[in-house]
Amino acid sequence: MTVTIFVADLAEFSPLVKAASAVPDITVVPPRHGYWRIQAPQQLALHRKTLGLRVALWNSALSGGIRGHLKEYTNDSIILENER
Amino acid sequence: MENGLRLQGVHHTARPTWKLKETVEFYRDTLGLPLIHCVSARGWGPSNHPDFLHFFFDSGLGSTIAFFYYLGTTHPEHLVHRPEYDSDATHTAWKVDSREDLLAWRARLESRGVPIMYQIEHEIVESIYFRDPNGYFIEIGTPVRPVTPLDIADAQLTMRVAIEEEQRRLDAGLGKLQHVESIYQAKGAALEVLLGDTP
Repeated sequence: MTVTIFVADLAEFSPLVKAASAVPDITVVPPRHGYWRIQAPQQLALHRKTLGLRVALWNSALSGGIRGHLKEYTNDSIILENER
Repeated sequence: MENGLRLQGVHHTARPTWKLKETVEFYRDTLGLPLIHCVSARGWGPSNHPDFLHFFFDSGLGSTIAFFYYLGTTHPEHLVHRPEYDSDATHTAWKVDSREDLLAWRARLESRGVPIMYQIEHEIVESIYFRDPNGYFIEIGTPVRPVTPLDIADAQLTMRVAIEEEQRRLDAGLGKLQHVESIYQAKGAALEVLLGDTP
C-alpha cells in the first residue's frame, strides 16, 4: 500500500513540498481539492536537517493528514510506513 | 449568519492582579498603552466581594486590556500564574501591521528590560512573546498572510475528524484523544475518500 502525507496548498507548507520533491523514491502529486500528496510505496522517510526545514513547520508537517502508520516522528525524522 | 448578527471586535479582556503599581507601570509606561478608564468601586454584588479598582488600557482600534485590583485581598494560590504551557494558553495576543512594526516592538521592549522569550513564525502569524509583571503571557504578532478559503475548509475538516475520532475512542472505551497521530490518520482517511485513490 502506498503511504501518503497530505499537505495543504498553503504558503507556509511549500518548503516541505519542495524539499520532499527532491527526495529519491518519493512522488509528489500536485494539489487536488487543496492538498498535495507526498507519497512512497511501503515507507516514506523525511529528515528535517537534511531538508533544511524549520522546527515550527516540521512539527506541523503532518497536519494535512496521513495514510500509514508513524514508525518514527522525532525532532529530525519522520518515518511513515504501511499500516500495521 | 442570523440577521447579520456579528461581533465588532474586542472591547476588553480582563484579568485580576495583585500588583497594582507594577501593572500600571508596565502597561502604561513600558508598553505605552494609554490608561483610559478606571472604575473605583465599593464592593458590591456577593456579600464577600471586596472593594476594587477596574482599570483599562487602550490597545488600539477601540480595544482595551483591563485589570481588577481587589483591595484588602491576598493573591489566592489558584490564581498564581504558573509559567507553564497550560497556564500560558490563557494569553493576550495583539496585532501589529507589519514585520517592521513587530521588530520595533521587540526593540522597544528589550530596551526597557523586558526579555523576549521567543520570536516565532507559525503558519499565519509571526509573533514575539514576553511576560507582564503578573507573569501573564503576552504576544504581539503580525499576520504573515491572509486567511484563505482553504484555511477555513482545512480547519473545519480537522475539527470534524478530531471530534469524531474522540467520540469513536470514547465509545470503544479508549478514553479521550491521546496522540495527534490519530487525528492525522483520521484526516488522511477522510481526504483519501475526497480525493479518490488515484491522482
